[in-house]
Amino acid sequence: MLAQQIVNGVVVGATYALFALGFTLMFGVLRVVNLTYGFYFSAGAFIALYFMTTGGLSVWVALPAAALTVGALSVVLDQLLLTRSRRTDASEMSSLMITLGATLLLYSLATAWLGADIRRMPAGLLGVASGFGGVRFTGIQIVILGTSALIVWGLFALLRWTKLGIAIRALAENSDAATLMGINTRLTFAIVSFVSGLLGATAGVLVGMNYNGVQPYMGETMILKGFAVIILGGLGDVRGAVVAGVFVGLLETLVAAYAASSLREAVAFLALVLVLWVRPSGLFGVSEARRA
Amino acid sequence: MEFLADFAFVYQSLIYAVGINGLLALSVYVSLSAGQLSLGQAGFMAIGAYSSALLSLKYDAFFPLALAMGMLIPALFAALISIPTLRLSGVYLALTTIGVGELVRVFFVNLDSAGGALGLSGIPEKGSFALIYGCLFIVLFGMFAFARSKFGRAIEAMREDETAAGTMGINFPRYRLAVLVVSAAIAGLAGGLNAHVSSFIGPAEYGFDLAVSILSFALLGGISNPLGPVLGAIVLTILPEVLRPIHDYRLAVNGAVIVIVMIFCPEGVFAWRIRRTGAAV
Amino acid sequence: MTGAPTTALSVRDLTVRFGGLTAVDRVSFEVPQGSVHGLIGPNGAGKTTVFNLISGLIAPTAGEIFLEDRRLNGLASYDRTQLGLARTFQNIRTFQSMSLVENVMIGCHSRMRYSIGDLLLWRRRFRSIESEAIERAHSLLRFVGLEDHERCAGDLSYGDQRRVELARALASEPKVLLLDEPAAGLNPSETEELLELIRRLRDIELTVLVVEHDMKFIMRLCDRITVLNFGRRIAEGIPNEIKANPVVIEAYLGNETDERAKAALG
Repeated sequence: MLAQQIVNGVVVGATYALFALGFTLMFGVLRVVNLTYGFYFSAGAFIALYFMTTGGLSVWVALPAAALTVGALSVVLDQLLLTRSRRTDASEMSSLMITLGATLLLYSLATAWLGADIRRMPAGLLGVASGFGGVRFTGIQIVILGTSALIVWGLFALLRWTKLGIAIRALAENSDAATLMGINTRLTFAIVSFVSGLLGATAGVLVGMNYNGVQPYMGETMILKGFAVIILGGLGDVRGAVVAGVFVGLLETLVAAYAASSLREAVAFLALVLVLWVRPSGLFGVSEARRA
Repeated sequence: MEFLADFAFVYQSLIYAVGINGLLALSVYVSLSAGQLSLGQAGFMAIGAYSSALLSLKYDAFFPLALAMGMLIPALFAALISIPTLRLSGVYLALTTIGVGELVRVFFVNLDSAGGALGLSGIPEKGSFALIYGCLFIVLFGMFAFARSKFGRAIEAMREDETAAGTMGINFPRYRLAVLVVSAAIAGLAGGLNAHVSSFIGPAEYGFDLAVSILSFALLGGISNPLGPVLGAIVLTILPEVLRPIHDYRLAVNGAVIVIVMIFCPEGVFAWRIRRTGAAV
Repeated sequence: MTGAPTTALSVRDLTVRFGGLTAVDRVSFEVPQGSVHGLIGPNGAGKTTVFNLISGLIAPTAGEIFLEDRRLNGLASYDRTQLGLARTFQNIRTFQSMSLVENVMIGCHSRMRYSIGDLLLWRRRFRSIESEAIERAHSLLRFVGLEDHERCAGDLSYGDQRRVELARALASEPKVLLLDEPAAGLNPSETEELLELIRRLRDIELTVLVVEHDMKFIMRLCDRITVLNFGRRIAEGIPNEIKANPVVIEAYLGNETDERAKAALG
């Protein structure tokens, strides 16, 4: 019933919001289109799964551990792939192509080693929990909502109140000025990579838990939705990313429930095309995309 | 003579694949040469393949007509999706086209009248070496001719500096659109030809892997001239067959090629520039 | 020569705001046909912004731009070129990997009227237009003083690339030519050659609008001068008037970075 669908939708939306945050940080702040970000999503899910099954760790440990691991991985990979294109005029296009190639490389290797089958999360994970007014929340959903809220709040606090956050925002506005002001751009870049990787991986674990399915290419569909979400929310706009993420998740769930479930995958994409047609700066963004 | 005939028989699908991949590489080349990155080739190929295959299967259509429709429909579709991006930066187009490719694939998976996830089989084998390579040469020739005209110069100017090109009187949104439409038509042609030599097509073939692989063909060969992408396609299609160890890692190799070329050798391997004048000579 | 001189370019109350900053504030001026008009002002006065507004790279917040009697507002840059507007750029934007001839032929683009059909059928129309364009490109390159037309634009010196830009702009057979700091980075003898070149343009009844920092250059070249400061017009007149205008002197003296201007104004 409607309230239940709304709850489900918001939960899905929360994961999209998390994912979009990391993506928009990379794109908006560093002007790089980092498609390997989708890989971090998959990697997070797989690593967490590994920790839980082979490592026997509980999800409360596995999730942060996976996120941190992927964060570190992302710093390394981004340095390797993106340093060259960062300072050039065509940084967006060249970073897009490089990371696209890297994505194909990584996904195909992962599939070769891990197989393309869908893996399941360990059974009995957090079980069924409460409900009220006829709406049921599973334990996983509560975890998702709680984790997302915590992380989003933490990120906003970071950006708003810490020195690092100011450095990041300065870098986003004007990288030359930021460098001149003495901000260590390389370090900031690395930190943003780390935080993005962390966000992507967390989203991956949460989505993997929500749908109880993990497979190597899950990041690839996610990255496309992520793109739709960040365009909707306005490039580089962190608040927009959150709102748009929840919105898309909600829309998808409602469409799947009340229209046709096969249309689910099309929703994000159609929203993207619509936004590009009507208002490319997104629902919240400042008009930077248009020219005269 | 008999040796050649045997050779052709055994390596038939490889030789077809080289030609088809050559066409696909040219289709992405067209967009790259104007500074646009359109990654929807796999999706356009799918539309072309399915349209022409369905026309042949269900309506026993006149083959050239089926092929033509397999070019026209993707072209129209490309025009539609690219219109909103014409005034935006190239990244939007690139990511939108990847999304389109995915969407097309999902569409065909769900379209039962097109066989759904199992695809279409029993497509009449109306393709041939001559047809595939004939098309490839015609497209190549067309591109060389184009290069030596105001259109070719305009496209190269756009690629270098779109804004400056605009102030020279080049209607770059219109050129962007034209380039995407042509790119989609060529990909659709490749799809139609492929469908009619493989006798079977399925949605799984036209996904992300193919889209990115096509880009790797073009980047390896270099995009200074139309031959580069074709050569890149030849190398990356034949290599996995010749070097057994990398056969299973074909996709990884393509991905690695993109990364390595973009970082170390962005001009590609076969980089020489065509003169854009001399048409009248 | 018939009748009164017409106005080739007119700008009325041109205004553009970026967020809170008014970069150009109700600027108006008129450029009579066949004249050379200067647009000067201290750094940051908005001169290049005015150029970008006229050539269609930015949309104005208010005001109008007319090319002869044709209103340009809302038209894209390529449409304006079609109507007879051409420009060069302050930071050179030649097409680096293309040859000089090809660069100039790009300038011819809007005047080359043949279709794809003409190309594919190798019609005479196509061939003759192409060869005319090549001829024109060569002669324009000679006009601006360049030999060796097959070299890559990127291999040329700064000064030579400026010449290529000029030839390229001329190739579109413009009615009005916008020159954005054409003398920047040139040595005195090159500057002298440039002056000569622009004077010769006047002979073919081309209207020129020049932005420049080199005061001597502007004073010697222009028929009239408009002075901007902080986005507003502060003075307009013939060179001798401008030189002696206290408001202008104040604007330049007040801006300490413009040492050359101070010296030139005396």
